[in-house]
Amino acid sequence: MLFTYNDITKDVVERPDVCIIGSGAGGAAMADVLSGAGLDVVVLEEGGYYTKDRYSTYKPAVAMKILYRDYGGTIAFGKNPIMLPLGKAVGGTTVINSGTCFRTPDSILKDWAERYGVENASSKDMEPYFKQVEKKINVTQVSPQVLGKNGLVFKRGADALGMSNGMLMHNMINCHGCGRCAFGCPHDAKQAVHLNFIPSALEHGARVYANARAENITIEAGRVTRIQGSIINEQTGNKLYGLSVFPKLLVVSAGAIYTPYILEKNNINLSPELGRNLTIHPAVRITAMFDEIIEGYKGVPQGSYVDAYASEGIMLEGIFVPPEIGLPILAPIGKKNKEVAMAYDHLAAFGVMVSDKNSYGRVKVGIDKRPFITYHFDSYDFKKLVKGIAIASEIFFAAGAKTVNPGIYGIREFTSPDDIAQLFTKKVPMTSVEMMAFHPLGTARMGETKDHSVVNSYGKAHGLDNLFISDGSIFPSSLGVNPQVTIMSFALRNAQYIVENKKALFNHE
Amino acid sequence: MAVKELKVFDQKLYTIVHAITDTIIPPGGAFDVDPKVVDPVLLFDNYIDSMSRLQLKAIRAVIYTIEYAPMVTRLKRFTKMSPEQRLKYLQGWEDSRIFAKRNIFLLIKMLALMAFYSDDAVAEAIHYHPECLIKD
Repeated sequence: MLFTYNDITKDVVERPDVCIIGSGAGGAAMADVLSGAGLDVVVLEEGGYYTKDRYSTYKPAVAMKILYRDYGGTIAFGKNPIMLPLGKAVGGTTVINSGTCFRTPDSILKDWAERYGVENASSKDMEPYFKQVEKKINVTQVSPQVLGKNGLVFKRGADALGMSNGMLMHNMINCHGCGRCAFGCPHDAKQAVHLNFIPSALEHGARVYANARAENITIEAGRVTRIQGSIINEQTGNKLYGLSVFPKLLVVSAGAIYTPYILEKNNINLSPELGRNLTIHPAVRITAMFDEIIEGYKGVPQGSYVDAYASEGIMLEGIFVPPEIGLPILAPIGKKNKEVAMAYDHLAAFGVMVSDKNSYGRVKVGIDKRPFITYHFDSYDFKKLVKGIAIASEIFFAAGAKTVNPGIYGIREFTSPDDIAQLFTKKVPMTSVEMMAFHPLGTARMGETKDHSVVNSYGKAHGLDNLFISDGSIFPSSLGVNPQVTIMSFALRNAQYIVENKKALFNHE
Repeated sequence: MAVKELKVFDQKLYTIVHAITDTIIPPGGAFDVDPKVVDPVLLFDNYIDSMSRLQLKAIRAVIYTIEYAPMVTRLKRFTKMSPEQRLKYLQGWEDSRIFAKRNIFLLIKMLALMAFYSDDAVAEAIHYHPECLIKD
């Protein structure tokens, strides 16, 4: 059964085998496997339950208000504060992501084994889980029919320069190319987890509570015994009813920001590493004006990629947003604002994303009792970002762009490829670049010792036998690619571990 | 003026935000929309209505800062300036060398413009017709 605040008329008390906090990629996949194995599972999700009937009626700006945390403006503070969009709904960020799918790169899995002691997670070990996930969420290559002109012009430029590129894999069934992946797919073509893992878990008897915020976690004699929280009115945000869950085992799947936050808030200090080692994928958007009509908002916003510099940690992926989201950043104030708006159909955009090797961040409980995120963006990683901007600019010119806007304060838009050299001859301060970031990871990383990690190789918390973590926070380092397949695959693997060891994990008496 | 329909701003804030939005997106120009139909301040106000108290406090603080900061150097409040002075003043925020100042203004600009460009009449005026590439 799936309950929203509308269905609940009194305080909720549950005594399941497993309680999962969070219904995103990690929580939903975990719920499916555990309930499928006959365990009684309760999922708590702070966000509401939305399907295409609701979000197909939302304009993008409204979707950001409803489906995102903080209107999409969650900020990682540092020298250059970075916006970090996070989803808040049954299905978590998978409801508002681009749908892009990558398996965990082999080199990353090897690195985790060698540097962090992560066991039994080689490419070969993970292969069956990748396959299961790809089947469940229907991973398929973006078809040329829905790529849209924004992706095509960039591909044209990359081809002209002989740079390796291709169409991305995404989790879609019958994609219409509506350009709205990030605002809730209007046809539910994008297979976010509320369309597969969650319904499957519900069929197995799991109970999913939307609008249910987990607040307090009680630990007694070294075990989690109770989760207290609230059922929230979706419209007003006010508490309606109390919520008490007494599980045999708790899985926290609230994402790399909210998982360490809820644990720290409850003084569950699993390791000195909890909340540390945050990696995000810092990204910038490069735009270009063309004589031809692009209508970038038609087609899959993130349909193609250029991976010619992936070995250096630079990935170029499509990105395009509708005018109400793009113009506020791109168009200057005054009369020029409307002129830029009128030319929006001629605009193309592409994203540059770097894998953060030397940068690091931290999540703490802020003075306002909300998560406080800090992030130190290292100059080595920043140089990669600037190099990525140069590459994207070069590609746009090769595709026939009239002008390219590198999105850097103090550097005028480029009118010829010769202008790109400015990126290396002028000083480009970090604070001059308008950045965003995606894919927070790493704040409760896996490993085999409490001093260097928060959970073991299967997501079990060090020092607490009935607490697991299942989301992007357990990954010891940046993936360099979109993480949803990795999160789901590790969730399946770790859920299987719980099922295989349930006697030991549940029967502690 | 649609003060009765406001959820966040009061009369005073409405006046200041009206001056700000009129400067960010001046009437006329490349396209026009009927101000009786599209009130950018009302759109802005309704858009931010479910923000947390802390976030709304911060937004109000920024709006009052924009209004009163010119008193220090120009002895004039923002709303008392001419349209040309207002534009020059806000361009100073938008192009400021100070990162924080630039980004605080970007926040107000984003919220105002997101609400404005979400309006159907505005979308029509800029010929924005979102469609799927494959029709049903």
